[in-house]
Amino acid sequence: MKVADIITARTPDWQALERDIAQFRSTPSRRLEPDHVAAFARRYRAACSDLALAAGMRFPDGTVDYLEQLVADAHTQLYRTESFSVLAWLRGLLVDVPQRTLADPCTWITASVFVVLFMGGMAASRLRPEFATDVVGDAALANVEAMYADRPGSGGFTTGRATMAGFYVFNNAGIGLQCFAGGILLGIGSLVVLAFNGLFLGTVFGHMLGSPVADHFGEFVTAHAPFELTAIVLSAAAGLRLGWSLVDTHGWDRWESLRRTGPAALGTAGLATTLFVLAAFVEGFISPAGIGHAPKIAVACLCSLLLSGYFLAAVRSRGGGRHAG
Amino acid sequence: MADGNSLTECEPLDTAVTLISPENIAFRFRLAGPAARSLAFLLDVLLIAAIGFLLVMGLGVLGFLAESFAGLFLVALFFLWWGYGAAAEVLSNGRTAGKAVLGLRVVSQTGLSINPAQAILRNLLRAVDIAPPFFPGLVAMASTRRLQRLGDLAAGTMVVLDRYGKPPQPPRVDADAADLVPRGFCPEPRLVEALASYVGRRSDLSPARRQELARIAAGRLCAAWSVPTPADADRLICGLYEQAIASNTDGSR
Repeated sequence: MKVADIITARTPDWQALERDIAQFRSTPSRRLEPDHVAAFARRYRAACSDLALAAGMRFPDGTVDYLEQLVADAHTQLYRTESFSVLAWLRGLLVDVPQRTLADPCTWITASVFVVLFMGGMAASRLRPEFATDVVGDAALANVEAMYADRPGSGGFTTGRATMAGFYVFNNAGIGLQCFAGGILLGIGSLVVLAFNGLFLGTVFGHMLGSPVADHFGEFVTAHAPFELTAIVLSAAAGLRLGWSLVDTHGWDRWESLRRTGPAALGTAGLATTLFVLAAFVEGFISPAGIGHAPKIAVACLCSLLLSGYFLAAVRSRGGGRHAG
Repeated sequence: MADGNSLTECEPLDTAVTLISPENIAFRFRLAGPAARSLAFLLDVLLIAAIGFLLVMGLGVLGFLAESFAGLFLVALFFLWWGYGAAAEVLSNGRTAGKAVLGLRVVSQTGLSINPAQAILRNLLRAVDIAPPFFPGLVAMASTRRLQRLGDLAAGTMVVLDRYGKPPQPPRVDADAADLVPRGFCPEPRLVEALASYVGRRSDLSPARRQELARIAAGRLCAAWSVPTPADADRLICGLYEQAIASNTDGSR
């Protein structure tokens, strides 16, 4: 049998496989004809044996390269991983993600870091006014004070609420995702962003509570605080989880350990992003509204209840409340 | 028996990854380097900028929701920037627009197509990979065997070249050269490899060049067999190749 004859005889089949690959790439599995899939699998196996023959028998160079590409692409299509289901996704969102987030020490570490720095910054700037100047800077402080010179619902707060909501999504959720991504540098990136935000926010809080516009400030920040502060902590927790997997590998090699942690960390980061977006809409539409302080406190309570309920329901669904103690 | 293991015996020092399929076939993915990937990313950024620009123009011209227009735009920009890559890679089988232009594709390290979680994770972590001044992505690509950036390492993905070559041309031998081949010719594998390499490329060469190249090999072979070198050296080499394959195929059946 001559090489030329083999190649000529097999070329139509290879070209058919090429067409199959192009078609399968743009079609979800469930819309493919069973007969077509069977024919595709047959052609793939035939191409596999052609490749083995070509490599073993020293067919001309181009043949082996071509068949390798063909087999690789067909392999990618044959063993596809298309397992997206709404039910599985909902289960992940409502059960797996909150359970894993609560069970993860990283969550409690980042929460503690944030609370300690926030409280520390607030106490320091209350006790020693120069502290706020040192940390935040005079210009920024004046800026913040000017922002809250008017009571929410009047003056500077009346226009462009949707614009502000959009800005908060873009800016805050973006910072949250960066905080998560920075975690891959052994968790350091996440911790730095978290610590900076904790200290900065705490210091501004302390400063503003002692300023003449403390009422305005307090009224503005109440409504969106529960979602936004939780979101910051969770972003950093997800990043720290990712980075820590490079340190404590549970016996895997470092990259394998990272790959195994990825999906869990991603779930928490997704939860954090959702909270950031929700917080952005509260901050854009409710916080600046001229409805008085009491309804905003009610919104804050509602948000806190929702969050607690979300986590508690997930713990319950495991049937025992392991984290009650 | 042919030397069938040479593919896996020693991995060539190359930007390719060899995988073994469940059918026990070794095949290679050719990896994409930092230059092509940066260019693809640049194209994607330009595309996002273009979409953003069209959004501004479109919404502005329509005067649509003038009040909340900037907010909508920023939300759209957020999802485009953080979500475009992942969405495109999930929906069109591992290729964003930029990757499609440059003939790149993201696949799983195992050679499978990527799933949504992998696509989202590798695209979120790009924020770190492109961070100046150290560009961790470039450092990681330079120091991993599969040229992976940090996002790829976490998601277990790699970016491969996806350029189809033409279907191979069957080696055309003009006349049957069996009369030139010595009886009982059974070459060693390295000689077959050299013969195959010549036959695979001879269609790209002019007739004079074929003879020039073939005469080098034919001269040495004929000297070893103590026969005169034939005038048509190209025909001899083709005949030798056919004979080598024939004896190989017969031997293995």
